[in-house]
Amino acid sequence: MQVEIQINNSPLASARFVTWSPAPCRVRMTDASGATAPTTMIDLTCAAGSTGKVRFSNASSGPFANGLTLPVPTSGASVAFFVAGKFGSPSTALDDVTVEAKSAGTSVGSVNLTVRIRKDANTLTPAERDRFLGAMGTINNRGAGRFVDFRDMHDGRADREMHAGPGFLAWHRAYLLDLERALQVIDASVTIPYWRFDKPAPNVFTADFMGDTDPLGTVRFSAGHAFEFWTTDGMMGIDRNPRFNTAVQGAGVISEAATLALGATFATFRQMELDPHGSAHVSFNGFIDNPATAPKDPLFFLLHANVDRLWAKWQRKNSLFESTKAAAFYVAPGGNRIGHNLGDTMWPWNGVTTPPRPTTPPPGGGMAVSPFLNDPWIGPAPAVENMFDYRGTVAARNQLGFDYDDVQA
Amino acid sequence: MTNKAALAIAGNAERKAADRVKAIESTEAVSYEIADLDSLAALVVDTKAAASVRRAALHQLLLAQFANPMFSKWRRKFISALVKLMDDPTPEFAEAALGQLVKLKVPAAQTKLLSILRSSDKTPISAAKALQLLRYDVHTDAYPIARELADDPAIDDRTRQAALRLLAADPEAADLFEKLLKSKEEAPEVRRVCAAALNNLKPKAYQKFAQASVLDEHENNAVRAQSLMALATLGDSELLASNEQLTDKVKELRAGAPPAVKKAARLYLEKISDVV
Repeated sequence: MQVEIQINNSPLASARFVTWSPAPCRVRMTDASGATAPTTMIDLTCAAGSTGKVRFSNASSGPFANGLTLPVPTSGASVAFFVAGKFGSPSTALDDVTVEAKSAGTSVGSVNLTVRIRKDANTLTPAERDRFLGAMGTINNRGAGRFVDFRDMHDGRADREMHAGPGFLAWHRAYLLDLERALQVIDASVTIPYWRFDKPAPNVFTADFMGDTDPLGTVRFSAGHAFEFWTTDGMMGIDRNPRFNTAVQGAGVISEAATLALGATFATFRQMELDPHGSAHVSFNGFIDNPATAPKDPLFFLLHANVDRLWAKWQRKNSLFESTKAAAFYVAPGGNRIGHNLGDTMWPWNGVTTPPRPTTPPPGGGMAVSPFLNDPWIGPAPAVENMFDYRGTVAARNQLGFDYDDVQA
Repeated sequence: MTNKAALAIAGNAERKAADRVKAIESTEAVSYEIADLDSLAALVVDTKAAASVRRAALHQLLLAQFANPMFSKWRRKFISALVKLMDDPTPEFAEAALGQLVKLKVPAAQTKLLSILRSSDKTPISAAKALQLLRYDVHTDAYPIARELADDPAIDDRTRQAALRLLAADPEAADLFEKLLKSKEEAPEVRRVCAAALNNLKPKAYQKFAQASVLDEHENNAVRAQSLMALATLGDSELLASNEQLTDKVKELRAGAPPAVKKAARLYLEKISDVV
């Protein structure tokens, strides 16, 4: 007897990634030999030895459990179920979770998947860290790779699309996800880690990770590091001089608790763009302290992953995943400027290069190469409002396919 | 206290510096109006004010770049203040101004940095710093002086490395980098900078060097680890997989070499195993 298990209702390996949110799955009999009835009870569990863990349910809401028993027809018809990553047990490598199907104690099928979650950069395993660095080094490709697009998306010409407006968080969420999907084309196990900037992160600012700094403010990497060839704008290397002691201090920002307490409405919470976000940027002297050059430093993406995580935590704390709720967003009297209203599509992904949007061509020549836009949840021209329900809490179809290690479902 | 009230305290030269700093730090950068930004800029360029006051004002302006909706309209005035600041008698502020101006690609900063390099007088920033900042908007008129400094046997290591990093954008410097990279007399740190530069300017030449360095029993381990990583992440997998001598050597290194070399060897073998 054999069964086939599909994660995210797809036979493809590229679909075998889950977060803390329920993912639709199905199981069907592919070989009914030995079956003695029209249905066979199949037990689904996470196999022993799996590093990441998942939990099961036959519904997308309600309690999830360590195992699930389903009646599966011998006809080959599929039976639906759901898996979700078990909070606190993300994967540490590709396919390190095995979902096993058994019939009367005998294994009849299995599938490997990954509980793919964004993690605290300071606590990554060396292998996780190196995979992230390797993917970033490859996408940079000594300045000749696709990273050029990500650098060009965030320069002075487009500043008004992404800063100093209510769309700031949504735009950067999309930006991070776009880069993350591009990194996952190189290494499917990779997520962008976050730099928890209100706490010391001694493991981040080392020559083996994001680099330490010489007295001139040139970042140094260990021999064989993936960033030894990092180049942006034809300029080799990274300039970054901390204004704080990275070994024992956090950056000069308000604490996470203070950030989450900025207010229960977006109108007040969005002050976080100044502090901690802006404060984290200017806690260094170097590329990262000016919006025009900030993404030249790969630390930028770890900084913004934490900014996004803070928004995610705030959303969860206040149950504000629905963009249309008044407290979830801010609309100025008379409306927000373009790019900062819920229904506005976001440059550059919308391909609009006529005023009042930036007139620079969209990176990649029309964005055809961006895997981010092929995600079923994103579509060809994501709008600000598409970035809110990132876990599919309001509607499963809204899921963006990422989560944080310490933001519970 | 409103921003206006706080900045009135900050702008009052009769007040103690600590009070003025506290007032500046109490302001909300996100809600500055144009007049507030003007007040802060005036403080930054005020050479009579205490350094702590000027520093606090500059910090608020840097913050405002990220979150203040008026800032983009006001940016030209910011640039004017910075241009004034780059001639400040206090090196800290001259350097801060130049650091921001190069990011904004203001031509006056380039001119100033070149004059610093050519000057025999005491300058507000070091030659190494000037070379570092010139990289942001490199123009060919910086290359001759960078080359002179890179060739000067009396120059300190930091300045020399900064000169080499600037020259990494000069296609004419490829041969220099190849020569320095191949020279085992050079410090490994210098050779690694040259490796990155050569990889930018003449990637095929670098890949050839990288393969040779892996096979070289007398090569420095840091240079070897860098070479292996370059081949693993940026090399042509199929071409590398067909080089049996190289593959055998890398297997040997994976089994017994210093940690950085071993790790890079493992990545290299993973890469070519996708092809084999």
